[in-house]
Amino acid sequence: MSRRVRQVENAIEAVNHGSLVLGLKCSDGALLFAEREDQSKLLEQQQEKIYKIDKHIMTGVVGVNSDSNTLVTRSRHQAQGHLKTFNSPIETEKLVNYVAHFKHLYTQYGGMRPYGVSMLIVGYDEATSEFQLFRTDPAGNYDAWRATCIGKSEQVKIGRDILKTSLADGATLDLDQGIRAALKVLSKIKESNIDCADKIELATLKVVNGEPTIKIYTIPEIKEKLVENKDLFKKDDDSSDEDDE
Amino acid sequence: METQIGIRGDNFVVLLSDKIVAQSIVKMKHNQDKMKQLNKNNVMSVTGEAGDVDSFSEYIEANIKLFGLRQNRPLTTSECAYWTRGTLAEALRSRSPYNVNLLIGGFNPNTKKSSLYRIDYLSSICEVPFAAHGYTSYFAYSLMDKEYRKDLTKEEAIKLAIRCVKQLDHRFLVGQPGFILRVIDEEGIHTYDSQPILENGQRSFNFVNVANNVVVSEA
Amino acid sequence: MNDFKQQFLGDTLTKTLFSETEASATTNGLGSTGSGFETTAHKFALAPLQKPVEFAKTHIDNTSETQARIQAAHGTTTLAFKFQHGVIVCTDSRATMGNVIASQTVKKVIEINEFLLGTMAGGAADCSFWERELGRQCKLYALRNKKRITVAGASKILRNMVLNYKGMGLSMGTMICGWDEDTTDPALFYVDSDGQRLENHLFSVGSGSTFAYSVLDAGYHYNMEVEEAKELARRAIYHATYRDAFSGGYVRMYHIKQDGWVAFDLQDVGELDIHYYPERKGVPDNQVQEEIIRPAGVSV
Repeated sequence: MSRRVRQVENAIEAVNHGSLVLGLKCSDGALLFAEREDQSKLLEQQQEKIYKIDKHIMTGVVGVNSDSNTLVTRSRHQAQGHLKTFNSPIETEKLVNYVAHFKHLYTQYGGMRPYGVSMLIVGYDEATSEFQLFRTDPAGNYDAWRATCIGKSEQVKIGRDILKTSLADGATLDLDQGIRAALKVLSKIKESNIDCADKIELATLKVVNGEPTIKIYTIPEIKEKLVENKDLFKKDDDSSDEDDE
Repeated sequence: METQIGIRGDNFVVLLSDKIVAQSIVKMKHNQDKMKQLNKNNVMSVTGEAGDVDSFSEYIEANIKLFGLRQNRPLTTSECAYWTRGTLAEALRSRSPYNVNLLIGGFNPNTKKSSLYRIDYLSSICEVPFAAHGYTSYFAYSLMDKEYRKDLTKEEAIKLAIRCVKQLDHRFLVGQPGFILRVIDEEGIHTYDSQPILENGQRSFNFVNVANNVVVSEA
Repeated sequence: MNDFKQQFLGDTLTKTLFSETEASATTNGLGSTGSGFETTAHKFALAPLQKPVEFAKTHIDNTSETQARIQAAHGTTTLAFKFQHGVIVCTDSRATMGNVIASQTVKKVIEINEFLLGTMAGGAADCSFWERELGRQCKLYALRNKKRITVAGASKILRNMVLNYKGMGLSMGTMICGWDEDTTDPALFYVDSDGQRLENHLFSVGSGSTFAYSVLDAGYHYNMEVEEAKELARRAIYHATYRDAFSGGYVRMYHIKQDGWVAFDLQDVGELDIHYYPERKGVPDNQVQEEIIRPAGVSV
């Protein structure tokens, strides 16, 4: 008898065709970076991959958009419910556990469609004063990472390789270096140039004056970061040109 | 008729309660511990209606331990207090409300600060420097108002508690003859038992640490 | 499956599946689910009114202070204490309904099993029903676990059962006494219909308890011999019956030892009165009966 659940595998497959989301724990915070799907120029700009869940938790999603909306809404409810009953911010792992448990339930019975969403969840825990990065998949697994990415298999492979090199031998990056690493991944997975600010999303989580603070970058702010790191694209363009020639 | 007092210092909390279980005019038991140890740095003292006290405090105790296991760290005093309040508030509007008055005191090893919460049977909650419930409050509050300082030491806080119970014994028609006192600080929970003494013909109390027999007296 | 879907997709989802799921801590592992313990044999029907509790309060009299339709038999002196050789359990035998003595030969000690005794104070029906139910639960426990339930466990089952009916008119004040397997100490718990459960070395329950306490507290010490303990209990019940109008009849006595309980003969409190205070009745010293005789027609 096969131990595989077809529906779940389909859901995971859907995730493996989504656009990239990258998460990274840094020495002074944590960041999420995402690439948007190609979309019509007529669409209004809106948040699509990275969502704030509470003042100390954010998530990046890959997969079926309508499913991720539900999960984000439920997560926000859970976070506020925790604040109400315990008067303390929910721990990141507790929220992740909830999301994973919720997804897992839809893999348990026939006739139900599992959630076709993988999520990277980044949070800050007051009790331990630590940043956290978790990943959940449609089957209901979750695990903790220093850095990882989810999305298209071939892009994920490139992304993980770059992250692995950046974090080799227990090295840690600060947020600026982290953003640079994320943009480096971007430069490698796509023939992107410096004008792709409206094609990506970027958010950081830091502690400012003892309070966890999430910053979701606006397009002009992303542009700034791209300009700061334009050497990545220049060099990349040059080298690829060279390769081509 | 039951006595419950709490005093918070900067890095410790003192909780005191009497030991009598009474049924109408009869004392059924003289050595009942009315406090529950919620986890290794939080204690809850409970008074109220017979039956409710036990069933409510057992329920709270077990669930707070369960939450501790689930998230792999003990709940903080504030989390214990707010969850307890919520549970009490939900029951209040149900068919079976609990008639209990609570003091929850504890020490937070992360922030190195202590806190004391006063919750009554109507589930009002407040974080306070000192607290009492019931008739006790009519006698103890003025003393605590007068003597309380933010920089109270543990010994001073225990002595303040002694002054309160001594006054109760002297003026309150149904004062109690014995008390249990607990100090919650960085090292954990220390339990003291009362020892009546005669002072110029008037009864007073010493508190003896049950672990090492160290005596704290008012003088 | 349909149930699951309904629950799963409906609004109740967060509440039933994902809220901070709470342990049913009140039952302390002996509760209604999972462990194989039913809290009770069945649920009682309540009066079909808006407030069945109010109905019970006005129609059932448990105190003799109201003139209700149903006069529950009650009024009692019961006592139990631990000492070095076990537990002495002692009761009177009078039941009253209002001002009437309903019976002088009530058995206020309930033999839950060979090692457990429960006493009866308050509503006679409530006590015997719930303690019989407790006996059933204890037997089931023994069959399932191949060992006897502890006295602490048994008293907690009883507490949890009556807690479900708190405020609905139950009247019960009982002492659960016994000796646990493989222990050197006897055990004694007080359980009442408020849901209160206490452990102590000495209890007395009922309208005559104040009188009994006074005699007991004066004479009690842990290192008594069996005869001294029995005499103390007898004296306490006798003096309670002497002053409390709702107590009387016969002194009934049990001794719980490590290998189970033994019962002793009934003693008429009237004859005890002559025995203790012959001069009151003008009975000459030489005619005082040495042997206390069990009245005919009364079984132990």
